[in-house]
Amino acid sequence: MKKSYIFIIFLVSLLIIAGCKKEGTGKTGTFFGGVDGVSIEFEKLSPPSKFEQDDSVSIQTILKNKGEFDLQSGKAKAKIFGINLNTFGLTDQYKGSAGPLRGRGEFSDQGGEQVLDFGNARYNQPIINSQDFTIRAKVCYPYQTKGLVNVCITPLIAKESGKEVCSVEEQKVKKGDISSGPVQITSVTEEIRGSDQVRFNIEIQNQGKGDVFMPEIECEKLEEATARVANKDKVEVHILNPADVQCDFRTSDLTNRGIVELVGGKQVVSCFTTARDSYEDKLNIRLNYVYLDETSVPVTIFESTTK
Amino acid sequence: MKRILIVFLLIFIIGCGQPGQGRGKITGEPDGLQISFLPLQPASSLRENQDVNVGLELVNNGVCDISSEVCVTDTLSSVWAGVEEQCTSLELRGIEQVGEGVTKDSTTKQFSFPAYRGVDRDLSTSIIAKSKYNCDITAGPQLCVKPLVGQKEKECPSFEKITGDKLRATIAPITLVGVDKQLVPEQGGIKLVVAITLKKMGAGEIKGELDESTINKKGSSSALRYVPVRVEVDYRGYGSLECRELENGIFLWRKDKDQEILNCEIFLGSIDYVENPLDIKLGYEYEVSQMMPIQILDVDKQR
Repeated sequence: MKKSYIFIIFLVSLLIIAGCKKEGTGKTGTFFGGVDGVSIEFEKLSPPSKFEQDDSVSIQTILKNKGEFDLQSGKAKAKIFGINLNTFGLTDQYKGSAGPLRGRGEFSDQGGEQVLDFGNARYNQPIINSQDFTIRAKVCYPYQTKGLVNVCITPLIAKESGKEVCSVEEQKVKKGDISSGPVQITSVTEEIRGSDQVRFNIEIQNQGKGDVFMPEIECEKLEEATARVANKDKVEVHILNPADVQCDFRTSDLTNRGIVELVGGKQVVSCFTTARDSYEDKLNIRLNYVYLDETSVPVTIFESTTK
Repeated sequence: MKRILIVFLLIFIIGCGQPGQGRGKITGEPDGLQISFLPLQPASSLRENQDVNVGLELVNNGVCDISSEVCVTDTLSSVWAGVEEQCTSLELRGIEQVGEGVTKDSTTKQFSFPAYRGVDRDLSTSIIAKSKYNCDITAGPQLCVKPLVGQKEKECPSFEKITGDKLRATIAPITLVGVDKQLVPEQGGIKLVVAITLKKMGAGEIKGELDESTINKKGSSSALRYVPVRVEVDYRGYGSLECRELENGIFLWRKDKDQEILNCEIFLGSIDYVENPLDIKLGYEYEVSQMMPIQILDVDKQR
């Protein structure tokens, strides 16, 4: 009887200890992973959800870098839109972050934050009873998603003789292989072609809520409808390793760096390398792009009571 | 316990059973001044030499404040005396939104007329009550525009028919009942094109006279066929829309029509995504009347 009590107390203690164990950082591989980049939201009460016509209300947004790429000061920019900015006395210009926005990493589990102040808004048009508006803000930033994926380089002869050291069969992307960013490498598969060629099929997908654009494009330029169309859904893919990997980028010669156009938010890039021996390697991929995301807040403006 | 439950249930039912007086909105279908005769004022048949008392109930169902007069007359010749036109001032506030409800102004007016005399047979006539007033309103929905037609169609359709609550159609004798929006890409930007459907309330008619230049242009018979309605359409903060059917801000409303359509457009240039009110300002004169048929009985015949 006594023994069974001790056993129960031991079991309960174990459960308690297990429960108290500090929650991990969620990092199981090289990267935290995820689809977050830089998010934008309105600061609490900036603006308030309801105010009077004569009120001057503060407009502020907060940018949070929850992805795994560091952004220098001014690189992430935001602007207010969705309303007639003149009638609210607001600027239609982009405003850059005053400080750097560090991504999530070893030393910063949360990532960096920056508040952008757009000054005060005051509605200068007549209001009868009340009028509802939706104030929107967009964030535009250059970003990079990194991928370090274990791949198997093996020639056909090694496979058929059973001397391969690894398998080309299964899905190569594992948890923690891809850094957090809105554009993701969602799949890497391999196949052996010919006697010594290994082909990688790399699937790239926009998994964020926003739109992706060609890297290096200026945010201000994206305000022009034609530039927006011309640069939308374009991502630069750069394969750093294996060194001799070449990809079919359609718009350029076979190379390890080029632009991929996403169709319906995704695209598969085919790359290949020559396998002279059977070995495991890291497929080191960089995706470069500019990302545009937005947020909104509904507000109601009431007719002034002090006429 | 059962009793408490029953009491609560009763309170709940009573609460739900209230007619909801005062609840509602100031937007909806066209409506305005409503005139009705008070019971037996006048009675449907009057004896010769009997005083004629007319009682009216006037309710303002629209947003326009009414500062006018209400007049009562009849259709019978003044040979028999009786109802000679009488007018009295009428002041009614427009409906107002107060929280979830609407406040509605109403009043009653009494008129006394001398009796019908010298009637040599039973006569039929109608008592007419009417009031003419000016109404100026601003109504209109929020319209979204975007830089690229074909993109973000779910969020902001390039072709859109706006009806119902989204119209923010202020209740008045003439108000809007539909807006058809169209975004047209043009060299250097976007053009906003709208077809605005206006409707008048069932009772009453639009009043007013055409100015001389319009009559000269349209012909003298135009005065019989049209009435003027002042219209201004503004995409708030971006300027006025040009409307095909407007001339110097006047729309000629065909008297035989209850509904009319205005086609307007504005070139907005290169524009970011915007949701902004379309202000449709209407100004007109409106007359509402109510008729009650009565019989005047010849007293001598009854003897």
